[in-house]
Amino acid sequence: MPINTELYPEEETHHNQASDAYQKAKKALRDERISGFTGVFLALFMWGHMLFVSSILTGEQTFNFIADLFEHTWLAQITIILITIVFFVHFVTASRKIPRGLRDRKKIIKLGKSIKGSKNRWNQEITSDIRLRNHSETILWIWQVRSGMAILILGSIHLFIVGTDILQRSLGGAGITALESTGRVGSGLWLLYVALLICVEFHAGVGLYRFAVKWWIGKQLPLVGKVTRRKTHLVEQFILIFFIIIGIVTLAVLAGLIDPPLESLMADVLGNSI
Amino acid sequence: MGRTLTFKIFRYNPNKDNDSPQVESYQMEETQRLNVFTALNTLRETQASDLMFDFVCRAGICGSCGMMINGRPTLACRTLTSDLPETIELYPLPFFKLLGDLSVDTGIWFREMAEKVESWIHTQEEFDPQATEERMDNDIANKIYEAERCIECGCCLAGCATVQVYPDFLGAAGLNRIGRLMNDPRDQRGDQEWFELVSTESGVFGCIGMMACDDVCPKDLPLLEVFSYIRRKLSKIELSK
Amino acid sequence: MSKIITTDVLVIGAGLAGERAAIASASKGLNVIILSLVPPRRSHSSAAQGGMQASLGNSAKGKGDNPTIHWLDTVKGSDWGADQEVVRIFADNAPIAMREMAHYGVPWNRVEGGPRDVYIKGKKTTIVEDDEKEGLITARDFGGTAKWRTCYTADGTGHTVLYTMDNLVVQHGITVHDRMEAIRLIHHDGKCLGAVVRSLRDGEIMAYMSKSTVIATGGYGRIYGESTNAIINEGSGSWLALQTGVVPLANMEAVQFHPTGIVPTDILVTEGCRGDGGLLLDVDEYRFMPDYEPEKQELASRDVVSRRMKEHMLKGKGVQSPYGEHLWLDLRHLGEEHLKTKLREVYDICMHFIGVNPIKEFIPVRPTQHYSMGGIRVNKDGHAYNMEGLFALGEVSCWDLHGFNRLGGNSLAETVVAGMVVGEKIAKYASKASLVADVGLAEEFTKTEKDKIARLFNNRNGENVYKLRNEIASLLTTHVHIFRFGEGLEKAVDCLKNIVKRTENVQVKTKVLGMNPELSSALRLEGMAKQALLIAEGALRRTESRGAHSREDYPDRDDANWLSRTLARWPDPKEDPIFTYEPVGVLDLPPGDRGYGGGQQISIKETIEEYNANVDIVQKAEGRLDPSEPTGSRLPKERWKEVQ
Ligand SMILES: Cc1cc2nc3c(=O)[nH]c(=O)nc-3n(C[C@H](O)[C@H](O)[C@H](O)COP(=O)(O)OP(=O)(O)OC[C@H]3O[C@@H](n4cnc5c(N)ncnc54)[C@H](O)[C@@H]3O)c2cc1C
Ligand code: HEM
Ligand code: HEM
Ligand code: SF4
Ligand code: F3S
Ligand code: FES
Repeated sequence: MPINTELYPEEETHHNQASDAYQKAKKALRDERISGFTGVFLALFMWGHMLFVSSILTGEQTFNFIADLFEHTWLAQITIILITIVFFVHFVTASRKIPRGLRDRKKIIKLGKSIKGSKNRWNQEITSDIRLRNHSETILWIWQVRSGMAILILGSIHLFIVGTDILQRSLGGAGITALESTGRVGSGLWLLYVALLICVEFHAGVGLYRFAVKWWIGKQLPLVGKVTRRKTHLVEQFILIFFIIIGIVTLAVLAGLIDPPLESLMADVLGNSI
Repeated sequence: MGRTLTFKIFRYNPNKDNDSPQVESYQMEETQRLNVFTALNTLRETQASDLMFDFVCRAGICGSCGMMINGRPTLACRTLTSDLPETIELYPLPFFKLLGDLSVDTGIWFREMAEKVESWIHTQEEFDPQATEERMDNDIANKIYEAERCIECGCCLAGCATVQVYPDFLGAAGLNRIGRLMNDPRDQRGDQEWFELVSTESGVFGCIGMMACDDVCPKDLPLLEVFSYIRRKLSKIELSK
Repeated sequence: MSKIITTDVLVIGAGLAGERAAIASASKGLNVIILSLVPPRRSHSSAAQGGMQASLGNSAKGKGDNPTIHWLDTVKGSDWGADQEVVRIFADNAPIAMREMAHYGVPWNRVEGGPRDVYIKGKKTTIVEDDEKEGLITARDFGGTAKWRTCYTADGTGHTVLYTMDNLVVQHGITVHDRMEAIRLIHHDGKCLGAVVRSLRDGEIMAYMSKSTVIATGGYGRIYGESTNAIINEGSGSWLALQTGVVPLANMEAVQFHPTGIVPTDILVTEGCRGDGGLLLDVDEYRFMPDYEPEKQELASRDVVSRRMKEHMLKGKGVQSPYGEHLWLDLRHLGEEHLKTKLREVYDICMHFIGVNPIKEFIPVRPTQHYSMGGIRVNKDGHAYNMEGLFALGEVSCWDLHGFNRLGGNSLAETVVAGMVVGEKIAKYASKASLVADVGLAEEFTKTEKDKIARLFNNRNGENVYKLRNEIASLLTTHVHIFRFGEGLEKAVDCLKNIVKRTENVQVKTKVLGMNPELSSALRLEGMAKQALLIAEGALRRTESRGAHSREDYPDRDDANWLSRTLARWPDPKEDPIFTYEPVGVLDLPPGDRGYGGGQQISIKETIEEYNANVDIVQKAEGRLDPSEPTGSRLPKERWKEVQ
């Protein structure tokens, strides 16, 4: 009567550490980790970066002061090398998911456009079970790829520009200064920056959302409680809007369209001491 | 009530010579509490005797009737026409092999998936007919059941852009099956075996988080939670080595 | 030439019964092929929610349970129509089967020690579970049982058990050919050699030749049209047996009706609704059950409630709708919380399938065909009468565990127990038998089927398949339903005889061989019509009321004349079927009162000993093959006296 379970002999279930399958599995995990963590790292860097660039809002002095501080301590030089590496590592690992063939890419786009009516449990009251809308997360991914490609180009240019700045400083030049930056931005590069800003913030926002969903959804965390799509989505949207607004205002200042709005505030605080 | 519904149905019979895919329209008076199951059967009995589609249980439990209804992969038997606009577009599920009209071959894919994930309890213990059963915590039993509820309808696969491009990817249903087995104390597969099985590009890292699976699953399975559980578990296994 | 595929064991049907039997053979090293109309996991077994009975006795309300009590409940439930020895085999093995399924992965709900609240007959009661039993398989309550005995996994028991079983099938590497329909048995000289099979993918007709052939195709509920059964349950398996002309179908008139199928989709809503206090109302929103059954009201047994509902509708108190007459089930007073937790499945079904919110609205219900007790008559080993090498098990068979009324939870259990026990016998038989791959014979049988298809295509101005099928369904629903009157039955028999003739003239409009739904229906139609006739005529001939078979003109159970099993054969397809009767089996528990359901009994004429002496002789004369063990060997008689 008992069912024979000996169909799967010992050898098959006994593996050693070095087996091919194990090594392959390890590599897959490593790739996923690298693409995820470099992405998150870049996103965190962008927050810090934004803090630095937006210091222009409080006036040129602060901007110059911080730039000088970083360059002086060689932090800027280290960072730009590190970031450039991370930037390309992320590009290489993350884009392993992008289908090579045009037909496949078209397939995804087609599906993204045609799948409708996700029930969208996480932000919908039960009015009706079926609500017809395009499936946003699939479409977001398509735009994530597109924005990533844009970042690759625009970001490289930007890295080259600021890189030369920093290099000049190391060779005894002026380095990054408010004057130089405003000059650049004002002379038309603002176009590049607006594009880069939107791409980066969008890409990072969606990336973080996806990252959180991939690794933490359903987990009980202190303060937040259970991680849900609804919560992560809300956080993502908040961050996205917040940084785009700051970025745009900063760009406007850099382009000389408006005066640094926080300059007087800064002056009050520091009591005109600078 | 009193609406006249227009069904636009994808028609193609691969077994018929010279048949080419097309969309045909049928009209029908809407009746009270009409669902797509009843509607399609009525159409077959009155207007299109050769219309192909699959229903078995017509109660939302066997998973036969997945199709694209106005662009959404879902179970036809539990879709009420009153929830839909007057024009109802029906397409077969993408991804699976088309057998004809609205009927696709899900059986083969799921059997292969079961073979790939070795979807049975791996145990060295022989069953002893005389012994009392092994004890199990009721909470664990409930947890296993939660994942076991998948009815293999294929909607999650039809909605997932990734699996359409990488057919080797086990998809949400496959990963869910693995999650179910990982949680089962009776399955004696060790960390390393799980690691090799699921820490791959056709396993959990094939998923890029499109999340459509979670949105369309008619059984409301917590698919994303299963994936993140698996990811964390793999990480833990790797770190502990 | 048609393709011929050979194997040791050919299992037709991939439900629980078929798969368990296939595993039994495969684990003996035999070559097995399973055929199924649909991928295995879509088989109707997956739709069973409630659970399966086995006397494990772990839950507090099941304390002291044992196979003998299970046996008693089942024999009484069958209204003494069951074969008591088979019931013993079943009750003995059910606990083993449950544990085996636990071993292979079914997440049975388990006992949680300590007190918990339950609803018993609508009242909240606290029961205390034994801490010692913590973690063992628990059970819930089902109708007609002395103990809580029904093992379950939430409300998806059939689903989890079938999935576990199918995993084993995959593990054993058993070949499954899905979307394949067996349409004819290949047999010669009282020996079954395989089956003619039609592919539902491309319409190819092939022959499968095997040492032993197993039919496990489930019920025939869909002949009734309105049924809780899956729409593939069209009786194509029992038709295979009937076509041979020698294998009898037994007790076809024993059909179970469930009181609460919802309208229009006929999906079952559980008995638990009424258990928790749900009420049945008529067109005037009047609660009628207390008028008929002052004692048990809505909670009388399945057949009784169904009967009363029908009676009330016949008085003109039904609610008219485009989908026919129905009554209301009112759950509103149970409250939102109760409905969304305890009766979640019911809530979901109502919301999704008919758009009715049971918190605010009535649910439209009517008694609906649910289960077929009868089927292919087999001996204790599952071996068909008169046909060597042919086995049958599960709902399609009449092993005769259920007699004239099946208890809830016994049929799912039957599938795995029979799969285990009968499966063993099948393997044994196949190991000894030799394969007769008679190409000529295969060709002859496949050709007949091909000709038949050609005829269906060529008929001019013939009958419409769907129309004819609906006519059969409506005849059965009108005249051979819960209540049966001689007059109505006679009318049904006449009409059905006529329909049987008309089936020959069916015309298939879609002339495609492939997956042609019209052709598939047309091919099943003759079988449906003929079986409908057997149901109607069996009911007409049986002039008594027993279990689910309820004759208004003969309200008493008549043990003097009808303590017997109907056997129907159809030797000549052009002539009428032949009806004979055999004793139900060796009696251990003498016929008595069931203790519910009402009705009078007319006592048996002879003594029990006289009756028993006759069993073997008559059954053998009817074509029963000798079971591999001597009759009665597993049966310690009169054990029931210890627990009475
Ligand atoms: C709604 C509902 C709820 C139920 N709930 C319970 C419950 O709670 N407890 C309980 O004990 N019982 C219950 N039952 C009864 C029980 O589910 C069935 O009796 C049992 O599942 C039958 O199993 P089976 O293996 O005999 O057949 P099935 O599971 O019906 O399988 C039949 C198989 O045969 C195949 N097949 C059919 N014809 C052919 C052919 N011609 N050629 C090839 N293959 C063919 C089909 O594809 C299928 O694979 C319920 C029934 C219904 C309708
Ligand atoms: C070089 C240009 C870039 C390209 C081509 C690119 C591409 C991608 C792609 C395709 C993904 C999806 C990977 C996946 O889903 O597994 C991704 C994810 C991500 N990217 Fe980028 N990216 C680029 C730059 C950046 C930058 C500059 C940032 C930070 C601001 C960033 C942050 C992220 C984050 C946080 C994720 C989520 C990682 C995950 O889900 O695991 N990316 N990127
Ligand atoms: C260490 C590396 C970096 C340094 C030192 C740096 C420095 C600067 C400076 C000085 C500016 C002001 C404009 C200018 O002078 O041209 C600026 C703006 C900007 N940088 Fe960078 N940057 C670095 C890396 C990056 C990276 C990796 C990205 C994204 C891919 C990025 C995106 C941007 C954007 C979007 C702006 C415009 C800001 C705004 O909208 O206000 N930077 N950066
Ligand atoms: S996971 Fe959900 S959508 Fe996917 S097959 Fe299972 S039930 Fe269907
Ligand atoms: S849609 Fe596909 S990519 Fe992952 S989250 Fe779901 S499996
Ligand atoms: S027919 Fe079974 S799920 Fe729809």
